[in-house]
Amino acid sequence: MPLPKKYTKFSVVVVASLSLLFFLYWLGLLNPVRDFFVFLTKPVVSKVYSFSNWVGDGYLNLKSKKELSAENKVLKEELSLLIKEKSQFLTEKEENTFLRDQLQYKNNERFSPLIAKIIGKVTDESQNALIIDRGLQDNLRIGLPVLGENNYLIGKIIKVEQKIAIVLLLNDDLSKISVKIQNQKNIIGVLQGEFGLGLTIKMIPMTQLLKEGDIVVTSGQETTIPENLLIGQIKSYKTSPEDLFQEATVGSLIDFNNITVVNVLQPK
Amino acid sequence: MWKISKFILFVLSIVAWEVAIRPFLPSIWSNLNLSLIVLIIIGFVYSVELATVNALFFGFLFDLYSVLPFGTILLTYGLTFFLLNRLFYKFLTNKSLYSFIGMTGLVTLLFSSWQYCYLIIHFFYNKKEDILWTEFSRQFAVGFLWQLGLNCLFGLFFFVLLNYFSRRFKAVYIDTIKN
Repeated sequence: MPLPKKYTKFSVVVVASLSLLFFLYWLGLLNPVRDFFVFLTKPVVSKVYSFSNWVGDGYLNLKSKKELSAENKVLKEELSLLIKEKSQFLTEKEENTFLRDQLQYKNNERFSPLIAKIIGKVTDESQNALIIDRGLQDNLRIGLPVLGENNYLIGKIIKVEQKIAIVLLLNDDLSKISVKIQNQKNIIGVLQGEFGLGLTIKMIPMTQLLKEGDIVVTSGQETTIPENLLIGQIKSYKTSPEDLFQEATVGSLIDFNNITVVNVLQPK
Repeated sequence: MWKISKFILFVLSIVAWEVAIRPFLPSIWSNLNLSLIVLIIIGFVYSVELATVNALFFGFLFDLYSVLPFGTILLTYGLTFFLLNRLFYKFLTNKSLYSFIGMTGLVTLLFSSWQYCYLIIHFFYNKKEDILWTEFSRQFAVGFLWQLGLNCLFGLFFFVLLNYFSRRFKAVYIDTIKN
């Protein structure tokens, strides 16, 4: 059965429109149109995201009361340990301040935070990436670190548009970031995402001693990311005598599915 | 004016669903592709041409909130409904429930195939590790099966609902000879 004429005409129109769209994009003439549509959709998307988060939180609160009481017990134990550590830290801070004064140390903070709201997630399903409501107009650029609750690093910017930017989360499998494990030897490694499910540090030499609870921070080896940004703690590690390297799983306190506000660190 | 407002509201709802709600749903439910179902309903109730135009518009809007190069999602939606248009005239000649479910399954399959192609290219370009490909392909296949099931299920639900409230869904034979 031959196809109707209507179909042929329509096909030509569709192909022509697509070609025109690509041509206009290539010439850069489509940018105002794209900005207009972002301007139109962004407030609605942002409001719906806040609302869905609120609904999700309510549901989780109901569901996880039992889990919360168990978690509370563990947290109390951790708190008592942290208080001890804090006391030690305060003593060392006092010494540090004294020594800095002696050396006339200059506070050289290179980065300043910019608050951004999450408005949603990318639509292409390629990555665990969030959309924030800041973009080129706020001087954001690719590679800048993004911090979540309690200033934990959650990812870095991978794409910037005029009014929005996209943040690749640390748990995405295409995410790689140079990190340091804070222990006696300050081991340097590369933190990778695991299919949106977790974080691992691979290729740690067997000679390095790891222990659960070691803190993982940024190493400062990437020019756009300052050092010592908190990422998480070593949750577990795998070693076997025949391997040359060991692998550590890192636990973050951040719930990557429930982030509403972030801080983007911009160079001053 | 009322028609334009209705259309804007409709488009905004779909974009809000795809960007702000769907990705954050529990794992299985995030496979439900409501925009595809809506487009199929448009194709069934009005015409496949109108569904294709809407698909291109949705593709353009979803491209605004994507990491991939401009046009990837636009092309995915465009190609899917372009082919559906052809198949609709060739094979799916009535507006029965079977035809609707068949169309939903077909659209999901076509859409997922294009999606798999561009995602695998994206992975190859960014990370040349075989294990990632195989693991990604496995996860994608599972996600596709869920999406197929959910889309057909929700498609069925909307079909029954619309059939109850509207006469546009009543079974008719499309006369393709007159055209």
